[in-house]
Amino acid sequence: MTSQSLLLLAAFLAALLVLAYPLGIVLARVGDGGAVPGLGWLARLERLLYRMAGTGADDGMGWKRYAVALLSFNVLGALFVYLVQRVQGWLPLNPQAMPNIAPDSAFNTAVSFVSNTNWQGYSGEQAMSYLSQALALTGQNFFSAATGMAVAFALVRGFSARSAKVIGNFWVDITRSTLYVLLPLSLLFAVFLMGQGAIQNFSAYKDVTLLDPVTYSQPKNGADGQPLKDDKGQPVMETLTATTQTIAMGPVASQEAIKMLGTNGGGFFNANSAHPYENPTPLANFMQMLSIFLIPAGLCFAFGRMVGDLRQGWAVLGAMTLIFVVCTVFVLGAEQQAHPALHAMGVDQTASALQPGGNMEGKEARFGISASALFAAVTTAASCGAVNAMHDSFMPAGGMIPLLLIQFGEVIFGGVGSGLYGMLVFAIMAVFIAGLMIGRTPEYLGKKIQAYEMKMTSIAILVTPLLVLAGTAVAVMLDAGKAGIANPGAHGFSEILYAFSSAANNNGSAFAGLSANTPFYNGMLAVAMWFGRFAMIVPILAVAGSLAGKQRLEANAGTMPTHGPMFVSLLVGVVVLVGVLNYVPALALGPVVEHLQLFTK
Amino acid sequence: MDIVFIGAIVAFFAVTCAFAAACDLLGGRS
Repeated sequence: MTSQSLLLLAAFLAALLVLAYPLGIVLARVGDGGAVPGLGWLARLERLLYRMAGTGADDGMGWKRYAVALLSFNVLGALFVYLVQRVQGWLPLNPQAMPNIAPDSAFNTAVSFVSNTNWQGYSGEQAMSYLSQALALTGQNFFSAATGMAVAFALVRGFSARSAKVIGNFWVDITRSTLYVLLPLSLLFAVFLMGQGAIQNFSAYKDVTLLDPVTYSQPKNGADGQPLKDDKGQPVMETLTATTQTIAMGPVASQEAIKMLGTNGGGFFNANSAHPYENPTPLANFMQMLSIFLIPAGLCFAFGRMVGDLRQGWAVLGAMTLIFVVCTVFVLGAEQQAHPALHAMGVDQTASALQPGGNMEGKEARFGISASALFAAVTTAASCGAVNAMHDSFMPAGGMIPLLLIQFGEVIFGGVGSGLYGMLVFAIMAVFIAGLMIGRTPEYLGKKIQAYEMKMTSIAILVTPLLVLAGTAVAVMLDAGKAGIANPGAHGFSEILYAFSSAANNNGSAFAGLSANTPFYNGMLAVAMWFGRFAMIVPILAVAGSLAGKQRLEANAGTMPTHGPMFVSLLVGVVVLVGVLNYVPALALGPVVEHLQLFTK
Repeated sequence: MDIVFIGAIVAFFAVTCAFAAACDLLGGRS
C-alpha cells in the first residue's frame, strides 16, 4: 500500500465529516417535521402535495398502516417501471429505436430499482430508451432512497417517542425526504458533474471513425446468447477488428447524481462509473465517492439529534468508520501487491512515478489502484453498487472484502436510510447481548428491549443470509445456474455468491463474469432483491411501533452507556461476528480457495 | 408472459403483507 492511498483515505474521511455534519442538521429537521433551513420556500409546494394526496402532516400512522402504505407505494412503482420498459419501443425519447425490454428482464429491473438494489442484467446504452432511463429508472432512484430514509426516521421516532401510538406518516416522510434532501442535492451534484464533463442531452448516438483500427478478442456467444465453452469448460474466444465506434449519448448527469446520492448505483452505461461520460475526472471520482457516503453519514448525526443525544450518533458513526477503515486498508493492500503469475514472468509491478504497480487488471488507468480500491470499498460498504473498476478482476483477497462488506448487511454506512436502520438493529442486538452478560433487562436509548423486539431483530438480521445462502445453493445445484458462470472453479462460485449477496443486501454491483440476464437469474435475483429489502423493513417497522409505545426511562447507575468506546467495540464485534458466522463457510469455498490456489503454486 | 410477471410483482406484495400480519401476530403493538 502506498502513502498516496493512505492520504486519499484520510482526505476522503475528513471531507466526509465536514459535509455530513451540517447535513445532519438538515436531515434532523426533515425527520422531525420542522422548517428546513434555506428551503422554507418549498413548504407551500409540500402543503400542496399533501392536499392533492388527501393526507396531512399531523396524520400519524401506526406501524402496520405505515408498512402497508410503504408496500403499496413500492408495488405501484414496480408495476410502473415494468410497464414503461415493456412499451418503451412505442414511446417518445427513443432516438435509437430501442425495442421493448423482454418480460423477464423488465421484471428483474423493476424489482431491482424499486428495492434500491439497481442490479442490472441489461446493458443501459444497448437496451434502455431515454424515457425509460430518465422517467422510470431515475424516478425510482429518488423514491427508493426516500423509502429508506422514511423507515430510518420511523425507527428513530420509535426510540425518541414517549408512549406514542404512531411512528410518523409515510407520505409525509417520503415527500419531505425527496423535496428537501434528494432533489436539491441531486440538482447541485448534477450541475457539478456536467461541469466536469458528464453529458446531459437527448441526442442520437454518434458514429465516429477510429484513428487506428482496433483488433480485440471477446467471448463468442451461441445462438442462445450464452457464452460458448470448449471441452475444458473455457470460454471460446473470437477475434474482431473495429474501424468505427458508436458513442452513446443521453441524459447522464441527472441520473448519475441521484445514482450516487441515493446509493442506487445503476449506471446509465454498462461500464458504470468507469465510463468517462459518467465519471469524467479524478475530482468527479472523489466527489462520487463522497456523495455515496454523504447521506448515510449525515443520518447518523440526524439520529443523534432526533433522540436528543448527539453522542449516540457519533457512536454509530464511529462503529461504521472503524470497520470501513480496516476493510479499505485491506483492499488497498491486496490490490497493490504483485500478482504471482506476472511476477514469475519478470513483470515489474512496483509502484513508481511512471506506473501504479500492483494489480491493474480491470481498473481505469485514470484512477489507478488507490481510487479504484477505495471506490470498491465505498460502494460495497454503502449499498450503492456503482463501480469504477471490475471487482471480478480484483485479487482474490481484494475481491473478498467488497463481498464481505456487502454480507455484513450493508450497515457500514450502508444505503440511504437502510444503513442507519440496519445498524440500529445490530445496536439492539448488542445491548441485548450485553444485558445477558450483566444480568439486566437490556435498554437502548431509554427503551426496554424485550422479547418482541428481539424476535423482530432476529428476523431482520437472518432474512438476508437465508436468501443469499439458499439462493447460491440452488444456483450451483441447477444447470440453469451453472450455465451463467464464465470462470469455472472457485472463482465461478464467487461470481454466484456475489450475485446473491449483492441482490439480497440491495447493493447491486456485480462481480462480472456471470451471465445473469437469463430467466433463471432474473427470477431468482428478483426474489432475493424484493424480500431482502421489504422482509427486512417490515420487522424493523414492527420494532419501531413497539418501541414507540413504551415509556422512555431515565438513565441511572445501572444503565449501560451506549455512546462510549466500549459500546462501539461491542457493536463492531456483533456486526463482524454475525457476518462471519453466516458467511465464512461460503467464503472459504470461493475467494479463500482461490487465494490459496494462486499463492501456493 | 406479461400477466405472469405482473402477477409475480403483485404476489410479492401480497406475501410481504402476509408476512407483516405474521409479525404482528408475534405480539407487536400498533
